[in-house]
Amino acid sequence: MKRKILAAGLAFALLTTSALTGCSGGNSDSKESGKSDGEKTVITFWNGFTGSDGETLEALVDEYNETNDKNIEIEMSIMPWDTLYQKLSTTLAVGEGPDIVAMATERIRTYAEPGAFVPVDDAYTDGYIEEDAVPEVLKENLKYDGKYYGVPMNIASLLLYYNKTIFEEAGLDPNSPPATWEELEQYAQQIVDKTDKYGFDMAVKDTTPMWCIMLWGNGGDYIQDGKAVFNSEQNVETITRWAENIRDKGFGPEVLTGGEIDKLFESQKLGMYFCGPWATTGLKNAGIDFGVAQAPAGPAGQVTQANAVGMYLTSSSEQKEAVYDFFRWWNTKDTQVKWSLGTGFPPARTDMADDERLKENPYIAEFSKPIENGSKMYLQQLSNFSDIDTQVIVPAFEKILLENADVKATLDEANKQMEEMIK
Amino acid sequence: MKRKIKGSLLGRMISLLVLLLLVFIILYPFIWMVVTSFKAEADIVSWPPKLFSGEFGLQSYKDIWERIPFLTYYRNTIIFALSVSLISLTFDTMAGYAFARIDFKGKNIMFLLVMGTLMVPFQVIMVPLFVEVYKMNLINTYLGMILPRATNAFGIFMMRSFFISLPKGLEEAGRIDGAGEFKIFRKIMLPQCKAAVISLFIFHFMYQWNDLLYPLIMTTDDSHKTLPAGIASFMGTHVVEYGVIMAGACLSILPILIVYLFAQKQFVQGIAMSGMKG
Amino acid sequence: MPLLLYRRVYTMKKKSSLGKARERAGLLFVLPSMTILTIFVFIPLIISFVFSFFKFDMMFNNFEFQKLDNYIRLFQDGKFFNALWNTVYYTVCTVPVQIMISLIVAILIKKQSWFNSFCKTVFFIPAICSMTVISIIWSFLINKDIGMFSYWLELLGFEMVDLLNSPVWAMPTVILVGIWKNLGFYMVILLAGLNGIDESYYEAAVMDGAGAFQKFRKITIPMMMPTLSFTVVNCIIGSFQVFDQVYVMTKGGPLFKTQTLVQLIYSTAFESFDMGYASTIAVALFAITFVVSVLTFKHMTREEDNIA
Repeated sequence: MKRKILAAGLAFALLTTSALTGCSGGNSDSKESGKSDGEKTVITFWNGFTGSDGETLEALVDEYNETNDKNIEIEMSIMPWDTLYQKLSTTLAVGEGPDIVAMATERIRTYAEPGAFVPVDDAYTDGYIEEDAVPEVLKENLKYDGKYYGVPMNIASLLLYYNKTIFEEAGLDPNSPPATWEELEQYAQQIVDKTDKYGFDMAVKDTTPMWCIMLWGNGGDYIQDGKAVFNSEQNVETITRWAENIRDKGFGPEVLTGGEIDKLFESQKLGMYFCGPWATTGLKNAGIDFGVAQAPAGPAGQVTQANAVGMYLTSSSEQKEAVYDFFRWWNTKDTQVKWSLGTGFPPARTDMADDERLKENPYIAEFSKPIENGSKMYLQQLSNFSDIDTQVIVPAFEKILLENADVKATLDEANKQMEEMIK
Repeated sequence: MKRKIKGSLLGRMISLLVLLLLVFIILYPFIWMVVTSFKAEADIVSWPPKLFSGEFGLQSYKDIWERIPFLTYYRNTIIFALSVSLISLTFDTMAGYAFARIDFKGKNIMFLLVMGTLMVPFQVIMVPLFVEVYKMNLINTYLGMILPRATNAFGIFMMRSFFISLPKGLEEAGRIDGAGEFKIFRKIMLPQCKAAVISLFIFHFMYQWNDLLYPLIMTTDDSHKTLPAGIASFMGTHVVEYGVIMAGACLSILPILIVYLFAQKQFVQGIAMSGMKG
Repeated sequence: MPLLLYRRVYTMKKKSSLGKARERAGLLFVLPSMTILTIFVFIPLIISFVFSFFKFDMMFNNFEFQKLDNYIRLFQDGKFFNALWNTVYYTVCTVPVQIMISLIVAILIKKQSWFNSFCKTVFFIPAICSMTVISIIWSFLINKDIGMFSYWLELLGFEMVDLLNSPVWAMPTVILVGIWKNLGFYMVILLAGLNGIDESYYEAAVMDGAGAFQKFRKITIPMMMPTLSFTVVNCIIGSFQVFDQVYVMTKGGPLFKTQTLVQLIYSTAFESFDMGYASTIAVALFAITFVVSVLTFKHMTREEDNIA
């Protein structure tokens, strides 16, 4: 006991003195070591590519570290996205943030406006990034206030996944997925009638947005030219129609999260749903006989949702050149091929459609198609994207689907809230 | 008399049934956790759900070993949890003792303040705390992770309750011998509270061991990451890897479970003696 | 809690003539703890309090003094009152049920036997596991479409409700998972209190012809009052700060039916990046918890006195 007390006393003395003198025990202050570590330039890179995508990303970063001739070393830290946002809000303000952050493009303005991200126009003008190769739908959304704030990291589109086994069970042709809303409704109805499975569903929350595909398919939108148009006639029509399908005709459970709908499809209880390229690997491993098809065309034409993650240079970084070098390397064709094959994401370049190497994974081409034309991105260019999404849009859908609320009234109210928030 | 025996037999049957049901409800999720950790990812989701299905293997454990620097995280967690628990234990015991048995100026107000800190959720002070630790130049150091947690209101409160429940006048003997306060604390008081200290140690250790947010916020690079953060990196936005997460959870429960099993007797007794007698 | 403390302190005050040496020793004993708490809790807390009167952006620029506007906003904020209501709902349901179940279990397994010590170990396992992992496991098991529990219900001829996506059932589910996790922790503390009661009281009661219920009411409860007040207050404080399981299982949904105060603070600070207003909510939470725990403790100690 005596010795313990002594040890504790010592520890305390040690702690107080070091706290007072500001000496920091270990010396792993990331930025300091970045500069003092011989000639090596250390770049910190935070992102939320958890799971199997992270595995591919790590291998690529290792490759960059070994092969780059500028003696740059990327120190990557992968954490869940929400943890990433928290860590950014503690570190960026004191200049301790990473050099590079990756996150979804819809969040750019949130960080660009207060100056946490720095414009990277010169990455494009100085030839690090080939502007022409960046998909059109992504280009605008890497900008804020007319300036580029980010470079492409990845891009994805949603397609209709359908379960061929269930199709057969319901007497449908497993090789002809629905091409229009009418067919989608008819097929889903047939699955519900003939089997004990769900026909078609869309996740509402904690998910890559799915309902927007329907809204756009009927010519509606959320915000247009800075004005909220959530309660437009088309939207009321669209949401009424699909809410009835899902809720009243029992196409599927009313409200699901992205994770839940994936599991539902994986357990072979759901015939069709929208999902991005990330699901293909898991489903194949689970031995599920599925196909992917372009999103069925609505009255206003065929459209789907595209989403992208960009890489950004933060205000904490003093290593712009090294950062740009990594940006450049990441967007080369070779890296994009490896990223694509490792994760199933289509390449974030428009000039690779004919690349032989990508044919190894037939899904990549399918997911690439809508990116060139026929896709839109969800709620971009807002300073408070996550508020509008989680506080207004998701609750509106929940109200309609769970509580059978009047569609028009709910959308009117949501639209009013949205107007307040985008003012 | 006869009725009474019957009644108590019935009572015992009911209580046994209730307990068995509870054991099942509590154990089942953990059985699921352990079984899932040995399953291939593709076999985890199915309808109808089956506990034992598909092939069993060590793939998830291999994954966790290969995809995160598991040993480093384990070591960091041990360093963090152990140092915090030990240091906090020392300070909590000292403060608890003083609050319980010594009169000094400002004691009441100080103790109220200590209790007040129990009511502060971490999220509330997270940002200012980070800035402060940063200004001290302690970000990314073990010291910076340990120091802010080096004492704990719950621990002070618990130890105080314990010391207060010790018989009055225990220290008088020492005082008559002319021993100083430190000596009284060490020689007379501390030996009395071995069991309470063990329980508090387990509470502290459990809490630090599982904490995700705090150690993550106090570091900006991976070198000091702890196990919960490592496990969290398998929770993909789109694809949650249940098998690997469950494997990680199993591995992270194990040490505490072992400590608990060994200390169980001491442990329950410890709180019994601390008595929480107010 | 404070009231009880005062009582203790006053009884000890009587003999404070032991000189300055003791007083100095006392201060020395609390010095490390008080220093650490001051630097790492009180100062950040004061900063948070100051923040609650300002508005500023995520880079800590553009500070605007809001006078009392943040507080006025608080009183007009439907989301705040919704979160307050949910937190109260959570606490009011959790505390009595948690304590009752834990107490019953503690009484059931009080006697020494191998089965009871097996139970003791099993019941404690959830307490040592992280809430995040537990939330993930339970979300999976009670999932309407792939969960094992839904399947069993189906075999029994019932249909499972989609618990976590139901505005009615989400909160009770979150509450139950919380109770499930903390059962072991409270059981252990209460068990300790039970073991502290002298057997002779019960023997005397049996001589007087008291039944099991009477023994419980007349001996167990009064004798356990100090332990009970400690656990109740502890449970209230914990409930007011509930966050983890809500965050993992429902993210506050559906329709904000499970959004609690800490979760609102979290989303205001880290999703809306309104650190100032988040601090305002935090100050309100602190004030409410403080008042409720003091009142509870006061009430329970009075009860204690009445019984004694």
